[in-house]
Amino acid sequence: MTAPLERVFRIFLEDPATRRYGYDVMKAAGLPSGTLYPLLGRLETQGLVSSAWETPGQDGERPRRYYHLTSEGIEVARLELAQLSARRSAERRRAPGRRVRPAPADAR
Amino acid sequence: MRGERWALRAGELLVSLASRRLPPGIRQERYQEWLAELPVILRDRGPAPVRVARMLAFAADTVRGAALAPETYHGTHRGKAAKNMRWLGTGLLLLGGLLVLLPVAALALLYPEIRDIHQLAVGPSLAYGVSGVLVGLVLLAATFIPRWYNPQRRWFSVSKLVAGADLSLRWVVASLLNWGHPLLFAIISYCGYAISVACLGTATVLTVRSLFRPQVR
Repeated sequence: MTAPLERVFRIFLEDPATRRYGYDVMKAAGLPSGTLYPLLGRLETQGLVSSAWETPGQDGERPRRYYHLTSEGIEVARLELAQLSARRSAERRRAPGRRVRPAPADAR
Repeated sequence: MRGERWALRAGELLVSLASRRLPPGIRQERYQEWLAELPVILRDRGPAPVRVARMLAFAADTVRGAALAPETYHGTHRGKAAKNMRWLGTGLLLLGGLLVLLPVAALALLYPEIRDIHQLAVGPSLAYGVSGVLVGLVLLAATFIPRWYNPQRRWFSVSKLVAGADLSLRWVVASLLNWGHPLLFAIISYCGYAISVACLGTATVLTVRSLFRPQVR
């Protein structure tokens, strides 16, 4: 699992029911648009993320696309992150002196 | 704010460039999505220049993302064959351009010589001969200016001068003095042209040598 994917999964898993638009995810994950949108596109193709167009409250605003994890996406994300944490703990046990840098979402 | 409006226009332009690189099936959808994000970023927290820079960075990065991996956006892609065909087309176009350009360049370089040979064959005109002499003299005089001097240029100007003088002399002997045997005209013409060609050959050899000589700085 790549670092950007890990960050995106963590953002969505903070509150799986919340729908987030692209810029919101970008800010939270600290990813540039050129990385995030292809990633979201790929996740959507795999059926892990679903999107819907919603018109915001304010008048004159364009409809925006909101993303959320599908039930399958939630399962996969949790599994992947759990496996990743297990791998990291194993690495830490093997080399206690080495610091494994956590993803930004971990730090919060 | 006026500046922000211009920035928004620039952002829209970048986003439209990015979406043009995407597969047709998802192009419009992505364009609308990115377009909707731009004013939101522009109204986000922070000082105006930072917000503008953030919005432009967002738009510019969509171009990068679309250029690097257009196929990852929706599982669809243009394919390697299409990319190869595009390169093949560009290559063929360049080759075609070169094939047209090379004869044109060669013709432009050889045109003065073709005109000289034509004049020798049909009988010289005084205007052509005299203008040849004048052009040769101007070019020769220019080579005496230190910054314009180089041996190739001097030999080339001598070649043009000799060709012009030869044609003018033939015209004077044939038309003005009204005497001489056709053999004499032929000797004048072809000897003069031979000298001219020899000078031109020397200029060419010097030019070719200077191209292959290592430059000392």
